[in-house]
Amino acid sequence: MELPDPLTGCSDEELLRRFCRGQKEAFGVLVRRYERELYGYLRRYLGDTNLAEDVFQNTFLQVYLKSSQYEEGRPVRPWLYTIATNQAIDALRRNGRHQAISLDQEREETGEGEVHNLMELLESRGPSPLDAAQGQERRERVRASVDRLPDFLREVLILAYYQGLKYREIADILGIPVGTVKSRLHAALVKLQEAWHTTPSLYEA
Amino acid sequence: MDENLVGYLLKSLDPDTHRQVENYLRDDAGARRRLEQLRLVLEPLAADAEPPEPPPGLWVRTLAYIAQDRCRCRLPPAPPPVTVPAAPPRRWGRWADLLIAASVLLLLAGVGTAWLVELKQQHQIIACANNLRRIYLPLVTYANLHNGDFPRVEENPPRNVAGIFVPVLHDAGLGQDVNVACPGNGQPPPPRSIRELEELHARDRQAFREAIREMAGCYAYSLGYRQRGFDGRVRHCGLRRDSGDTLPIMADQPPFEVGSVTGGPGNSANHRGRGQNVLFIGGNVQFLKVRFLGSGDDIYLNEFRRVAAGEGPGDTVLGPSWASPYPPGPE
Repeated sequence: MELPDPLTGCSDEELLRRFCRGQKEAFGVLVRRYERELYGYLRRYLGDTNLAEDVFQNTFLQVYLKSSQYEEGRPVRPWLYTIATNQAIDALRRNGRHQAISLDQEREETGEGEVHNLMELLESRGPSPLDAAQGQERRERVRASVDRLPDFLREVLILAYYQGLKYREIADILGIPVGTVKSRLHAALVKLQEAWHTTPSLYEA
Repeated sequence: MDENLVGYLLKSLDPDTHRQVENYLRDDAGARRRLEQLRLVLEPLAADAEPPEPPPGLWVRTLAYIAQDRCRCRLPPAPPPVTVPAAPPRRWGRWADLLIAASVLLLLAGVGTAWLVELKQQHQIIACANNLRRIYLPLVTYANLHNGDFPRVEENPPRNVAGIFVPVLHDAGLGQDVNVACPGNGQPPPPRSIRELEELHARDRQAFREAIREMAGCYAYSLGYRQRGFDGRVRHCGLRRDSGDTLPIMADQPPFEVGSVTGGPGNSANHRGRGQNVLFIGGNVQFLKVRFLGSGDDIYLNEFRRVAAGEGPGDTVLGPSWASPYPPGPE
């Protein structure tokens, strides 16, 4: 199916503006444009293809329903991620998989402590078993270790590393300060380092 | 400044902070070493950098899902259940009560058959309306994917007949919900692709005529309208998503014989001439007891009382499967 050329050249903001003014087909272009990117994010975050597809569909249903609340000029990409993340958290909660962040954890997130932990860890570590793994094994080990991260660390890591979002955008999407984004990202890297140094090769067990 | 080194590597910093980190790295050899260590920390993540592939057709299914949700919302809410206060207990056995009961039974027996027939017809009208609502989903999804244009009847065969919307939707992968058999009258025809129709048109004209006659089953579809452009030339236009929510796009088939050009009187035969279900561009379905809109427009004929393209955007003409916007002259 060929998409109309005039719309495919439009920015996200222009597409949503046109849709809000009644040009319904602009919405289809937006869905198609974000199909791969947003599904990829949800698939990584949720760790389940069916759930990711459901949440993707519900995300765009919410975008459709909330389009009247969209403020013209506001960047669309972080707005989409905000809706997708909220939908994903709802889905995890419905499935009893969501890990709520504790008050203690929240208090510990100062933005400074984790970076020192990470630096100290780097000073003291030698090569990890992961360094010896190659190709498929390496990919599976990385994915498994990311999947095992707590939700609040995994979402920051995915948004920053895999989705390439700015700290400011991540802070807006998750409704947390930029300093917390940094400390969670450092904490995620500390945990990944620990996982990669303690877990034997997948094929050694 | 070390807390910004990861963000620097990921290009996640705002431009000002990014520049500050660059200056910091230029002046501090220890910082450069730490940056290199952090690069090594991040490096394994690249092994899983390829984004997961979305399942095929996810975006089309998403649009259909939204259209379905919107259609569901448009249905009128179910009326609240009627609660009838319980009748006070009374004694049976009086002759008057028995006579009343017997009269009621006789009355029921008399009208029972007619009542059942009426009930069945009502059920068929509702089932037909629901069927049109289901067909609306692929139609509006198609329009969303094609710059707002619904499937259009064109000039050359086999695309020059009203029923062409059915194979067009099938070829677009949207045909699974398209059942063109009205529950009040008829069986679904076999689905065909445009290519099959083109081959049939080239090979066997009689079989082609039979195929297009049954293509849209028991329904009629918009023949579009004629419009004079700025250059003075008359163009044929199809309906669009933004043509107006209250314009009809589909309905029960008209009460015309196959081959008729000027059309006949009365309502669709799908519901024993009692009226016709009409699907509007906005997704609404109404059962009209006459075939005229509030504006007086006959939904089955154009301004010149012909089964042909409308004489303007507001002149609705819903043609049976075989009908063309450019019929031969009046017989």
